[in-house]
Amino acid sequence: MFALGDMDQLLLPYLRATDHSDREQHLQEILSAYAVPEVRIALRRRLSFFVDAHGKSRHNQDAEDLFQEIMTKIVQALHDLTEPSSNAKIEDLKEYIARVTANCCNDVLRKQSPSRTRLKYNLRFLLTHHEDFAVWKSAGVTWAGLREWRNERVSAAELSGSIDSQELAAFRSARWPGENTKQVALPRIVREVFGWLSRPVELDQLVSIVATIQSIEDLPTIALHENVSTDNSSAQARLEGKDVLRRLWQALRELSTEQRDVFCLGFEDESGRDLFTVLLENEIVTFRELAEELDRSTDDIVRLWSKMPMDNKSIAEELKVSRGRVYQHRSRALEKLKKGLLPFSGENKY
Amino acid sequence: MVLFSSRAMPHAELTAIGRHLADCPECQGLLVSSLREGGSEPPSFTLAPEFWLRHEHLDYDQLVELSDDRLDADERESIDAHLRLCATCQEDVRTFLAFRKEIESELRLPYSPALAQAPPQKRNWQGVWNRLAWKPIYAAAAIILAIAFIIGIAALLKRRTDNLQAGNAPLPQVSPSTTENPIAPSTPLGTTSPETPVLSLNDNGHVIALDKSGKTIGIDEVPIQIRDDIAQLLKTERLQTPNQKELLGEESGLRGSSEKPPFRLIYPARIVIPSVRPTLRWESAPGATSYRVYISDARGTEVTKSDALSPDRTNWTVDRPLKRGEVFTWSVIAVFDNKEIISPGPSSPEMKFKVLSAKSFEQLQKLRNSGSHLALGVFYAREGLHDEAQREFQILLRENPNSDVAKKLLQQAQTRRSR
Repeated sequence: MFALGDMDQLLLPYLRATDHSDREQHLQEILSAYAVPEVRIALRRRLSFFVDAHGKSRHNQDAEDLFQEIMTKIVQALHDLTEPSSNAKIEDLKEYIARVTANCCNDVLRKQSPSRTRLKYNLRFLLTHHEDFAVWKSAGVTWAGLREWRNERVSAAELSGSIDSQELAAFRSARWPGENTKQVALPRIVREVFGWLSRPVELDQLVSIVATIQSIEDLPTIALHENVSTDNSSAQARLEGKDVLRRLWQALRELSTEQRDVFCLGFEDESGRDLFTVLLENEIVTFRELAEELDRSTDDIVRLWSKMPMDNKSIAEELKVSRGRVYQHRSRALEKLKKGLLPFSGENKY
Repeated sequence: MVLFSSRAMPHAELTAIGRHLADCPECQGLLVSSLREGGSEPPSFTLAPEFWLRHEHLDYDQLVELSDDRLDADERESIDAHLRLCATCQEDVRTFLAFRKEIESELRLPYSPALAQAPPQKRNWQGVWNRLAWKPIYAAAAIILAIAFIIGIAALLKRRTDNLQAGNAPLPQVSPSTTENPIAPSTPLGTTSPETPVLSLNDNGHVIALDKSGKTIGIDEVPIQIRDDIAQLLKTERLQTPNQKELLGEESGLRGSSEKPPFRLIYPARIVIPSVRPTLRWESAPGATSYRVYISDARGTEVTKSDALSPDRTNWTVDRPLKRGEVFTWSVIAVFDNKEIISPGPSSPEMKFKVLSAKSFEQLQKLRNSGSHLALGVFYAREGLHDEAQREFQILLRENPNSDVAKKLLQQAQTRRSR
């Protein structure tokens, strides 16, 4: 085990703890205070994945799975530090968490290349719109296959079976000798693949098989929102400083309830912090004032705060309106806030 | 309080602390300290709509609803707003709509498991025979048809020999492979035309023939224009190919030094390609630290370019669809530690390619469904897709190993390709 002097100071209480429950308590604190916020922000920024402070996402199982995967890796690394035979060390905890998270996000981005995502959309459409094909969920897994396979039991070996790349290459060259498989109609490929496998296959695995058959290459890794264009209006609409934040809070109270709620729940500052955190941290409001001004109970404020910032789909569910309505309320809120705040954008910076 | 401020506690505990906080100024102070512990940054935010829309990428359900025109006005507006900003989602929508259109007719085709298990080009004729053998009357009928077919071919050959002996101009050779090939034709000539064919070819389990009047038989599903081309081809044995002067690049002294590049561009090289997003390939340049690929249109305007590609990459799939029917020029810059080398170099002609026009591509889709190698080969050759034409004629020759016509077609396709 490395000397404690080599470790990040934040880890010392955890590493010094001699009692098991004491150490677990410190581990929880490290995860809650440093890992969870960092991972949540990274997932939003890199993948547009929204999870709450408990790693939950109502609409995105992949986001939950990824959050858990990252946390498991971090926990494993922290456990390894306490092993007497371990040479592992973490000199900068935050940097380490950021690196683990970035690596996991990159893995997802590689699998989620635009061309692969489009292939998956096309396959889903084909499987759900052709009467001989089907896609269904079973045991938390999305399966694809011929319609008559839906009720068939699949053996455990088949469930866990992966497709051998050499077998796949042999299948491809036997079925489409000399053909440019990129130009073979997708229904024909799917039909041939099902005939070859003679059993259901996980949708993601089907995507991989078809991508291999059609030689669909992954594009270089980029975060999705990096493809979102910005212009001068972004810079012009940028606001900073405590006074501007105070004005924002005042202006929010003048919006309609729907506009205000939509804005509050989706707000994220440039550091990735939600609105309640920013308001509380800068002492613009107290916890009680927050509840009173937003006309909600403190229980409700706590519940919402653990989910914020929220994506449009979650906001729509929370407020029981359509996603289109969320967009409308937010657009109007932004317009009104711009009028009220932009004249002060140059004032009172830190 | 650290745990509360990051909200990573069981919900009941969070709620209890929240209730207490509302009434306890001291704990409110602790909460503020705790929130500031992680290194507080000045609050900064933006009211720019694109920032607020940046995560609102279209999901599958929205794509389907959008393409079905089932979105309400508000949601449609929100999606339109995101699409104006997000190139990835724009392309998602475009490719999804194109895919839906492309497979519209396919969705009505049944795909039973039995169909799925039978490779289209490798029929188990032994199995077919065995099944026939169980029904003697069918087997007998098949034998009679086969004998009739052989007699027909023999008579045709004899007539042709007589013609030749009489000093008539030679007709294109009838492929004797129809009788030698173990793959029996699925559309025997005698059943499709009262005319005796002057030439026939096996083609993916069918027989394509030319009758005396110059009409093709056995390719009814092929568009009429291609049928006429095939008839003309079978009569003249000459492959029609386009004039591709536009793809011959000009030399230019403006594209770098006169140093001969240490690597060549491989594909596409002065050809027509069917794909709007081809994968460009080039030779490895020893010592290069990265590559950059540039594509420009016929006017020299840059259409797209790659990011810096790692030195182990010698291919790049074009990141956006190229316009159909247009000619493009492409080049690769190999970056070394102290210099950059462009290929093709200034002493070489520009490297051009053309993307198959939309009309021709539509025709190609129909031809693919026909499965006729002859029709596809003729089409590819006519459009200048020489690699593809060669591939189709290779298959055709395999199915007709003794046919002079098939050999000539392949030879001509190979000659065009090597030009």
